[in-house]
Amino acid sequence: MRRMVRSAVVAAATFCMVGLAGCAASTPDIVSAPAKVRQVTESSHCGLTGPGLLLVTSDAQLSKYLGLPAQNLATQQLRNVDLEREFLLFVTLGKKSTSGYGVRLTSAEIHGDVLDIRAEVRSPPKDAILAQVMTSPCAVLAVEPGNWNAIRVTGIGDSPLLLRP
Amino acid sequence: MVVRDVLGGSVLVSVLALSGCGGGGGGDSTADDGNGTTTPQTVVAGSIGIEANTRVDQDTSDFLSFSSDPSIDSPLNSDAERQLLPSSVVLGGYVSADSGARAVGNPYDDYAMDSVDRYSIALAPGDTVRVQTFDLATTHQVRVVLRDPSTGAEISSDSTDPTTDPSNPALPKLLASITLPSDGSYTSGNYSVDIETDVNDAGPVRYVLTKMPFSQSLTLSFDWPRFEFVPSEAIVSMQTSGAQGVAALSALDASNARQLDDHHWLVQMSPRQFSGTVERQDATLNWVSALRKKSGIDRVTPNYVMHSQAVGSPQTAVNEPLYKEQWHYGLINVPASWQLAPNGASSVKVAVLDTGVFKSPSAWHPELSGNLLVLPGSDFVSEPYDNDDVNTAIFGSLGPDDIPADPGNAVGSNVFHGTHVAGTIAGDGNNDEGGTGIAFNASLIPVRVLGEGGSGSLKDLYRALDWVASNSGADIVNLSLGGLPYDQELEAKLANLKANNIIVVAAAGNDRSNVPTYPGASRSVFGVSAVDAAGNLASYSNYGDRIDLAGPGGDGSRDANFDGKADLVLSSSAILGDGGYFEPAYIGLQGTSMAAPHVSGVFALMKEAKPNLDVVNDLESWLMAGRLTNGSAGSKTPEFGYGLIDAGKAVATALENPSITVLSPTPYYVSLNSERISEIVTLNPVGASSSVTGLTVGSYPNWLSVSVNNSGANPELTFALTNPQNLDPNVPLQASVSVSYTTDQQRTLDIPVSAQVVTDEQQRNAGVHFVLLVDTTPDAKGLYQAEAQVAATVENGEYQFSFPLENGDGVQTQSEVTPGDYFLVAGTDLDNDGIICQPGEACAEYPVSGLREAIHVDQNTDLTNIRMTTGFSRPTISAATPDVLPRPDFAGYRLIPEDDFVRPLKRLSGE
Repeated sequence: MRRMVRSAVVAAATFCMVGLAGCAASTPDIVSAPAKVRQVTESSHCGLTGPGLLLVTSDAQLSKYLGLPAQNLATQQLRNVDLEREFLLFVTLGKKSTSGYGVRLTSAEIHGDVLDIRAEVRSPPKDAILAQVMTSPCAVLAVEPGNWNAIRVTGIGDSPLLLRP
Repeated sequence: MVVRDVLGGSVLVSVLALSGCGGGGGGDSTADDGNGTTTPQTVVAGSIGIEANTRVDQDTSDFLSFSSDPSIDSPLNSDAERQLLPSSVVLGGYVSADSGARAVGNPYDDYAMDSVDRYSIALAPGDTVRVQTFDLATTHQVRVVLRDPSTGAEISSDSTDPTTDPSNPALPKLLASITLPSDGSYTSGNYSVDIETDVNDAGPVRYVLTKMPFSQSLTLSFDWPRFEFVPSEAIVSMQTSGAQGVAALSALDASNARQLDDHHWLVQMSPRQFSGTVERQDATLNWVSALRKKSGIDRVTPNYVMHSQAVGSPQTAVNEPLYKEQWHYGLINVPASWQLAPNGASSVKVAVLDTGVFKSPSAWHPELSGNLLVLPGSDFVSEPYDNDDVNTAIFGSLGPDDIPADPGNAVGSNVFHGTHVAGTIAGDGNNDEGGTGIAFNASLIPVRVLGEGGSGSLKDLYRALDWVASNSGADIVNLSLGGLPYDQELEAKLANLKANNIIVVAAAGNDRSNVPTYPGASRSVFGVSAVDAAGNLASYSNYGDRIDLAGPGGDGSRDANFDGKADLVLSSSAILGDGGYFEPAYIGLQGTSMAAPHVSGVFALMKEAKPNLDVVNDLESWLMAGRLTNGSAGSKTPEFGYGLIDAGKAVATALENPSITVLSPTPYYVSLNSERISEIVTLNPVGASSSVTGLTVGSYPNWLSVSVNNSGANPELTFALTNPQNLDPNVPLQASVSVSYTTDQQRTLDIPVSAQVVTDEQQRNAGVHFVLLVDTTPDAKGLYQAEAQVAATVENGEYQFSFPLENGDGVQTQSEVTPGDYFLVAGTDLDNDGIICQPGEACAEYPVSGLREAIHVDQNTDLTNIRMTTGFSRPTISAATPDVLPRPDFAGYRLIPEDDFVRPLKRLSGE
């Protein structure tokens, strides 16, 4: 899987270089295409305390991130993902001081050499009463490798999250 | 490898001595030995310590090739020759189903046959042994087998597989683990663990075996950090802000700086620094290292694209005896309170206004079912927040109903918050499973006010509070919820509860703020802040003048009591099982939500001790007088209010009987080892009387001695290991010591004791170490070539080494170093491939592993008191070690090739 992703990156990078060399006086077209991304699960207790993106491409990696303190994830659903065909992307919100937060996938598209993922953050209503427990919300996405060399997730914070596999 | 180094090295020393006889010369780099010969000047020397619990497989390939025909299997493969390992261990090992050669014509990198490694390890039920293999290109299958030591019968097994993982068929499986079942079939003791190879998949395999507390196993890394970062970019933290910072920044060799905040800048490497001969990632790391040496810089890190912060242990352990894991009870003296309120508050009713409690299709959570008092109309969640119509028979209908069951969340996962809170207050203490609650026989009235996502409406809370005041019969109300601003109606309803002498306890909030949030900040409730396992304010906890007292809320980012686990509060919950249904479980959580129920539980015990307990005249008065907490009279702080709840002190206060006194042990649990062979437990009288007579200690095992000291203000018990040197270092010991004493009546206190004989320091062994001075830049394969090399074997848990300066006489030995800049490194070559510090091999770097720095060697160098540390784990990039840089292309340190063994002096001197 690691090699597959890297191959895609190299291929994309090569394409870009060719594009630049061949079109020195013009801007290459941005190609948009649907991306094969699906949400496997989401949880308010992922145990990952930093906001960001975490790419999991192997079972050993996955095992490392399952069973973190204060975690309650649908582990079997994650283990059922064929990591040879897809990899897992944890989109994490980081620590939250109460219940009521969540994140979910809304759309995914390939723009040029970037896999653009849009996510939506769910926050508790302002006037709600909330459980006073520390939470660590995340969504876990299954992503098929494609002809892109970076993942950009928008909708999580003020600025996009960027990951170069 | 050892053959070459040890034998060849001794030959060369002789050659050197002979050539030196006719020579002299040498100038500053030599010293006359009195016989007319010269001794090279030692310029680099020192010792290498070994990380705790480190061991090495005693028949690694380097050892095998030295001691025997490499095609003959190891003599350590018989069952009688098992290698004994300590109960906590990180071991580097090697196995191979065959012997063979890596390169034609080079006998020095051949690998030896070692078809099986056999170990004996002390295990307790539930303990896990993990075996990780490395290097996909050369890894072959190994099978890890757990066997009964007396019969040899297989208990369980697991295999690595370089080609397929059962759950992910096309992926390699490089980690195998076996666990001693905790179903009652096995007891603690020494068990046999075999690492077996497969003749059909023959080839050399490096592995690391670990048996550690789970949290420590997870935090160990055996490979160099290879985190992704954005090439050509770095985050620079300037020492000064404003114009001064900009000026300092402009002096850097960087471009396109973008300010992130007052002190931090994202900068890019100038294009001219990318030479084209160096990989872009390496160039970035070199540039980061160079920036760190510039003036005006506070810190420089690569621009990582992901930071993962949390690692540690899962707290889910349904089948484990969990009381000892509930550190939060010992912290607040709950064991002492149970002596005073032995019925566990059986006459007290506690309403838990929360998410409801977990209910499977057939039953409520087993930890709570015996104490539940489910009342009609106790689900108040209205439609906008409700989600319990997924199964109306189990959870009731959408909107308020009669079943306060927690259906979980429609979206995302759930930790069954109300179940966790209720378990801390009144989890069953008599059902021989899981842990316990504080008021373990109290009646729990679940009142559901939080719905989907753990959120609910204020109006539902209003109705629930009214109902509790008039219909429930509750003595105590726990509110592990909040986040509200001041609300007059809410305040009135809480005041009404107080007027009805109903005790209300509420969480202070988790915003690390002193801004009051309600209901925790209400004058009509006891607002509770949270502490970690050492009694420090939790990193998230609110504070301020509205805090009345503190309780254990845990802190997942800390291990303040050094038990190897994150400080989470352990209580009842449910987890998603393999069948896709939630199942009862115990999990660890953190929050002031967890702190409040500790106080509610203690108040329940007090209510049993004094049925007419009055909120104002008793509880508030005693709290301010320092009679419920570890605080003193009138002492209030923003962090802890009047102090951390003390269950023993509080219940003794409630008893209001001067003759009643119990002894409260501090600490409540004795843990001994060979480096801490004794521990004093102070028995603090809790109660008005200080008269304690007839203190006697019951029976205890002969490995333990217990003595009583009555000379001080309070009795003390000294627990000591009798003869630690004669005990089996690999068998953990357990005992429970009963202490009888008389105050108002004869009472008995049980103190659990555990002991482990650790003789680790002298026994640490990471295998034969090659100590190298290597070039500071790698070759095209990512390997750093050694210019000087010595081999060292362990002696009393450490290695010694020294490098003399090459003196120009005769031929140069492997250990002689020519002037230049080098990295000083050391490590094992367990698989005999001529490369050290690969994953699965021990490694040390000077001055600190992961932060190597070049040393300059010449005739003026005097680095002869160096101290390094070696081990199989690798440094990680964390908050504690932010300066460690990733090594995406690191391949290891290459030993001096055999054909380069004797090198012409001219070439080495650079002439």
